[in-house]
Amino acid sequence: MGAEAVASGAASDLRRKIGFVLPRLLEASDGLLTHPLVRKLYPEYLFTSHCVIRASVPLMETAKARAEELAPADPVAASLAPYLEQHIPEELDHDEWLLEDLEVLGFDRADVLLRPPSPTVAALVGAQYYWIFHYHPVALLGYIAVFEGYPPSPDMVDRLIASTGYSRDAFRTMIGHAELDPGHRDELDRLLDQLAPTREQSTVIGLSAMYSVDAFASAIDEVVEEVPAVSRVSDAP
Amino acid sequence: MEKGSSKRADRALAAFAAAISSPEIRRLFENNEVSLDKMIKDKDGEADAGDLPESVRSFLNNLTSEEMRLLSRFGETLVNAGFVASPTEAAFTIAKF
Repeated sequence: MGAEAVASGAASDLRRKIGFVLPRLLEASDGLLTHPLVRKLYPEYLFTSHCVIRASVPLMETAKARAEELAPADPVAASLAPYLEQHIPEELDHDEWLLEDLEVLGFDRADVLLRPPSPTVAALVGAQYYWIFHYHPVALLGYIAVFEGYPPSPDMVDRLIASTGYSRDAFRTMIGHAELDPGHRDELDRLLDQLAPTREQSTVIGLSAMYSVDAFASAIDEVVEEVPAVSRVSDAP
Repeated sequence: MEKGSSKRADRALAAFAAAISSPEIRRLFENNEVSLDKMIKDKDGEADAGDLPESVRSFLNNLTSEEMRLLSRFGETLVNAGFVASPTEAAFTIAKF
């Protein structure tokens, strides 16, 4: 298999790969959003989201540093580093939004930060560190494509507010991403088309994306599976 | 979200999903030693790769063996839920970055 560059259309190819597995995440999302005990589940979902999102900026910083190391001899890495440099400030403090959402619901941030993240979340995020350090930082674009590419719609957020009965103030993160992420998706798609990744790089971006869909869907499934424990122990206000 | 065009397309996709569970078939397919048409027909004599949209055929033909290995894990979900034919179609989930 040669290392020739894949022609333009990398973004479209990646979206098609994601599209093939996206039903897995749509199913998991629906399972949570339509659950009769969604009010109990929402704080657990926020906790899981916090575990994922607090890794967003560190992952990008790690990928940027690795891309800068590779850049002198690697045109894809050379184009990746400035994208990440620009994108990192746009994602700063989103984990803080989640802590504030949980505080609105009556949860103490110290308790949230003390609670160990699940192995499923660790595997989701950890896979990215592996690819960044041991293969190529361009893999992270698959992960970003998933998490910025299919955000909640404003209508979805409104329905969730209604079904949980919580104050709109507890949905800052979802509302913010519904507004911001469509623009970020377009920026990423433009970058992917400009990068002209090799066939191998295109593969690892696709693997990163498809794996992320499956792992995040599993993390959401676990939130839903925790219904009995959540109902018993964590009596959300 | 746009879905596969017909039950016949779904059947062809199901045959593809079943075929790529075999490492040997994945290797042969990636190395162009077996065609998409033959791979699907061998798995299900009633299925026809020609029932898949051209864009989907092209996409499947360009998958690497490692991508097929990962996709094979989604087999049942992939076939039951259909597939997204258009990469520009919007879809909303609870994923956030």
